[in-house]
Amino acid sequence: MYSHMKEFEIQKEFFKNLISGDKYSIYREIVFNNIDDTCSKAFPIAKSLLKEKWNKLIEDFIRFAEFRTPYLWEIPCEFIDFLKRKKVAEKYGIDFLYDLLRYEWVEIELFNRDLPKGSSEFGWNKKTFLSHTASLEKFEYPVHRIGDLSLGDLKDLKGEYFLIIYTSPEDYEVSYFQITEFLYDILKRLENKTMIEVVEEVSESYNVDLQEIVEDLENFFITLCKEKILI
Amino acid sequence: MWFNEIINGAGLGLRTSFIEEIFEYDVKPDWFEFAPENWIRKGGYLKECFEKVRENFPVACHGLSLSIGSPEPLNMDFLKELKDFLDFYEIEIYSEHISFSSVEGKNLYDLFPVPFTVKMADFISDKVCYVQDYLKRELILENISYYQVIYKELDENEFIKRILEKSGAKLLLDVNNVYVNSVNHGYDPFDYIRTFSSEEVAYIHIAGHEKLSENLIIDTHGERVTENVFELLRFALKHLGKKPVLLERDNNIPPYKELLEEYKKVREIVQSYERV
Repeated sequence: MYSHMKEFEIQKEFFKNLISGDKYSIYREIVFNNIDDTCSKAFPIAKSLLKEKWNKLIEDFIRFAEFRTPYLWEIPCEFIDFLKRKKVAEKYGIDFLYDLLRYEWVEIELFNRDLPKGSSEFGWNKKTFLSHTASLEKFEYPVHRIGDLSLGDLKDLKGEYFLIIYTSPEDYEVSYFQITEFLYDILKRLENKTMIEVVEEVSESYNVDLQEIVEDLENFFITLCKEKILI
Repeated sequence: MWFNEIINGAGLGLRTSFIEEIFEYDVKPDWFEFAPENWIRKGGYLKECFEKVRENFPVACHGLSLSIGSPEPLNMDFLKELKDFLDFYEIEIYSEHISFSSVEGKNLYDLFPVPFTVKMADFISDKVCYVQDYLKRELILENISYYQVIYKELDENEFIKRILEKSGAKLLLDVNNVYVNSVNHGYDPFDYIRTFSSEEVAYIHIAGHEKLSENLIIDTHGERVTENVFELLRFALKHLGKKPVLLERDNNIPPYKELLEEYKKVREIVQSYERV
């Protein structure tokens, strides 16, 4: 009954012009401001690095993005994929850009998740899991220290950085622990296994004598339980 | 009306910028309104604050992404998430806009005007009926502000009236939008309001705008409410009788204490008409 209405064509034409038309429209400005504002709030440092290129990137983003989510606050996540597809970091020589965007987005995601209820005691023979308010991340640049480092330093410090980013149950602030690759591998493998099983497995692959580190490991895992990183 | 058993007096749009301060002041809004899209798929600290507000105040939901005027079927995944949210928080009042914001699944996160035609009114009415059946709630629809008439066979008020009559939905009369549109499109805002009866109007919105030129006002929700809009609000309350009124502020939000001063002014106006 409503399949071939002329009204639909009018709406589609109007919408097409908002996305990719050349005609000025106040609505184009409003759409631009909405997307710009949302991405700017999520990625303030990236915006300051991209300077005058930012606006053009937002325009292209509006043009080429899928925008399937009805939730505007989820859009910055799609913006990261868009910038990767456009090879923006490579094009403008901002090598650490994707790490930085990822770090900032993880902070937003974690902040918006509920902390696990109750407390969790550490036990070697318990099946232990990583909480959904914690995220294990591996970066090439120390973007977690962007507040203390100059951009030049950041670039020069290319390497491997392993982090647990998490929401602190004390004050709900998103914080991080920088960890070793060894610990990263242990935490990565926590899936339906007891802690002792995982630690033995990883220690063997690293040729580490478990007896020498067991006390330090236990203390660290107890801290992670207190911070509700391990549950 | 049934929703007057839930919301009455003057409400305030809930924003995260002041959500932590609500319980610190003696002045407390009679009710709060919020967009479900800002809370669905979210948890964490702010959600805890939100839940505290939900527990302690009457509330209404005011949606942004339903896109009831889109030239395609409704987004059923979204509708399901919305229903789950409304059911979980036991929210009975849900309003949306007579507009569209998506085409072929792509959202642009703003409210665009639909063509004002009989066919479009009927198309939207059918969708409204579907949403009401699905959500098991009466839908309340807001007249939007618009800067372009994309196509027109009917006047906007006739168009809206037809949707209300065909679907049984109620109107969320946004007085600021009436004022903004009356300047931008040159009509009499008082005549516009006279079109609607008290039975058709569920509640009222009021907000600030920015005047860019003599003939162009932008509905920013980023300024204080102007005296012209307060005058129109008084007229609406006189014409419609007692109605809940909500103060919206989305941008350039002042400190909560300052916002409460403006809220108190709105409440005084609402209360003065409640006594009549």
